Amino acid sequence: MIPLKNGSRSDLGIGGGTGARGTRRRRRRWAVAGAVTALAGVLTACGGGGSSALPTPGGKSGAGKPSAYTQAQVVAAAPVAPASAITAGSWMDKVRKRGTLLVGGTDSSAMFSQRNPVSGQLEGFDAGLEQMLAKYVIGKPSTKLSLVTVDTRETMIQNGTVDAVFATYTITPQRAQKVAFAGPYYESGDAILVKASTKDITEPADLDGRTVATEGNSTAALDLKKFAPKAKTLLFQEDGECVAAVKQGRADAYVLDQGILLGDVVSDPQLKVVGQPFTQEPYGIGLPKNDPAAKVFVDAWLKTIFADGEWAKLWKATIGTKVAGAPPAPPTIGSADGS
Amino acid sequence: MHEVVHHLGYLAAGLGTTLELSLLGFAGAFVLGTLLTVMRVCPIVPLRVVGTLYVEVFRNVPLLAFLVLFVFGLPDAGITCSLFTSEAVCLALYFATYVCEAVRAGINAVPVGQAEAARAIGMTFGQSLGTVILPQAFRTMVQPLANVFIGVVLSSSLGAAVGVSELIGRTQWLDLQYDEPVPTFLLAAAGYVLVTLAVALLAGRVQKRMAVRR
Amino acid sequence: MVDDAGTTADRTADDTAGNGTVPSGRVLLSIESVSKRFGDLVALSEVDLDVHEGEVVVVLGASGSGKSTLCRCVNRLETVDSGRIVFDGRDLPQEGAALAALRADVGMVFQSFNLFAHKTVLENVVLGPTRVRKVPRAEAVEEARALLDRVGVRDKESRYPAELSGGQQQRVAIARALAMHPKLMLFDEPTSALDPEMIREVLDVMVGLARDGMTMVAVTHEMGFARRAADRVVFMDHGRIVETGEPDAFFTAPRTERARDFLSTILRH
Repeated sequence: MIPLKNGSRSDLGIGGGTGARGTRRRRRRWAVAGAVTALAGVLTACGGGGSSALPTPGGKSGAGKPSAYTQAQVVAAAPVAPASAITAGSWMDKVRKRGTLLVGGTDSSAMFSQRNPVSGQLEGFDAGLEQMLAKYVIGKPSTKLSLVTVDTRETMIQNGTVDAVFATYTITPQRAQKVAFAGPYYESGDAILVKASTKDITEPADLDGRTVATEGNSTAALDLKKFAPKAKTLLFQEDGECVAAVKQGRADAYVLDQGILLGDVVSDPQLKVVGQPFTQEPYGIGLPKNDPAAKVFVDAWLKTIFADGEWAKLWKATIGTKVAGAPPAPPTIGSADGS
Repeated sequence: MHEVVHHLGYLAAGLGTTLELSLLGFAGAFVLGTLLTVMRVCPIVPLRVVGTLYVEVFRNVPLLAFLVLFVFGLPDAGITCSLFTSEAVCLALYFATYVCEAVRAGINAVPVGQAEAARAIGMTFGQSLGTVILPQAFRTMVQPLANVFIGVVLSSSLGAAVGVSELIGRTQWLDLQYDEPVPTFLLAAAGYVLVTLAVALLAGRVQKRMAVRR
Repeated sequence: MVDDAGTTADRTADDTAGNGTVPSGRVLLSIESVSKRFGDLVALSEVDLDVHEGEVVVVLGASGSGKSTLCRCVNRLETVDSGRIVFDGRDLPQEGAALAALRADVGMVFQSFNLFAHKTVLENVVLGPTRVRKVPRAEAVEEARALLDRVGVRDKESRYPAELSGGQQQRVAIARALAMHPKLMLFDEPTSALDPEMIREVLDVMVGLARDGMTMVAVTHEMGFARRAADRVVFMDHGRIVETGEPDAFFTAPRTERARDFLSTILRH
């Protein structure tokens, strides 16, 4: 459809593509070669985990390795809450009685929550977490996904359509007035991508007066305004378009989540990511505000899986297949303004 | 209406860009579309084929795909124009097919006798088209052309997808900042309705004034 | 200039050339065994007809007899399937600028007037000379006014066609054709779309033209016009010319059965 560098995604019909306008995800979209990721997911799943013969996603050594665990294995090994933790009439009691966790999320966010076109399973860090939470409450990873958009997330929590939202959902004080946030369970931040030949852009201040591309439905655009107010912002729909804009000279730089940018660089030696992330994006789990026990319960569960290493295993099985290095340390529960 | 009302000027500038894009795009589409029609009705077969092919190809590709191809594909071929120019050109190339259809319908609405009379006094194909057929065709086409223009205005919003800071682009930006999609998009919608209503009203008046009595 | 003396009732298109009974001028238009079909319908079948300079020929026939087609073939609004048409010494050009030039020399008046609906009466007449003949506008306007005067609609010059009666429109159409200084005028049923009270004003203009020596081919059922102005009447049936004759003789004593039948139908009405 579109001759983008990462066009393989469109070929498989997954990823944002033109449909992204309908289900705009404000947050990071791990759009890098989503098809490759999905394929890797399938292979890992089929291979029973840990086969050293699997191809390296991203095509370069050191760019993330096949995980020793699959998402399914991580979920299978996840803990179940003691019966005493589930007080009668509470949010978790309702979920357990229903036997299914109603989740608000997306099915097209690579590395976080994307439906595998072959198996039909949701794959990614958010998907794994919601399955683990369902298992923790109910005893089995039974979830039902409702698609949410940036515009509907708060409403669907408030009116009880969903029990919880897992959608690369950044915790902000404004949103915290409408919903409760458990977490943060993941922290991310914006970085800068430039052509490998660019020498004079190393930090956000260098972007002032430059033309900078970013995704129109990401908060990176806002961060950019804060850190480089005189930058001229070009908003595009997708990662691939932003990358093309930099390569074709329409933009001097591309600002987005560092993880995504690292993925872009891995597949293209003409590009580089400069400096360290200059923002912090704490992702939280959206919960109803009317039952404070829910937030307490989910926070406690997060602490459990942070402590027993399940969280790190899930990171390895999902984001770790695309981003290099060891799992980061989990964030501190309650550290974000609004959590 | 929240903080959004403080940014009416910002949105109005976006509407200005939308109008600029639309006017340029439509002007281009009008010229090219008329040219295409002339090609399609002229007696020279290769020109007719080219005209028909053009219309069939461009009408059957979604504008967004075309826009993205144009913006991200052409630079690979060594042609890089500004995003604004790219979109204006895209709109012109794309909507030329709609203008072409409207002009063809307009030409068909001119009685055959008019063309015969023009030929009978010795006018060439070009002269009869230019002085007799098209001037009468355009008078029946005010409304259809106004519809094409409205189509251009609404479609110009696709520019937001390729980084053009027009009305929808700016609306999305405000939405991003204030998380208030309903009031921001309501404002944008009002902007579009304002423009399209004005065009429709104007077209009605012009149509009445220009109508050819038979 | 019209030579209406000494004609013979039985001459045909083929034998007119040598006997000197018709206008002394040379042959301006020569139609030689022209055939034309519309699908299965034979519109013209081996038609031969010569028209001399200054001659007025009236073509008669029932509807569908091919008379309008014949008229339209002469300036190539219709193409012919076979045979040839020679005008002013040259075969009709196939297309392009040469064909346009030919048409400029052949005036045509249509049944439905076909005035340019978006132009005023004056502009209708001025358009051809200025665009096709490249006559300076002032000169063209002056002549157009004279022509409008001649056909009696000078006072309507700034009106649009739709504001005129049918008779007035047809007279403007004649002026428009005359403005090109044609060598030949074709009239394709010029009065058929007119109310009876308007027919006369148009016929009067046509008779005047004939008197002034214009070479004319007129497809019309107006016997009055034929008797007053025609040198020759040509009667067509099923795409063929079946009888040719001097008007008075033709109308009073047609030689063929078909012509008699035809005349009886039009006389009855």
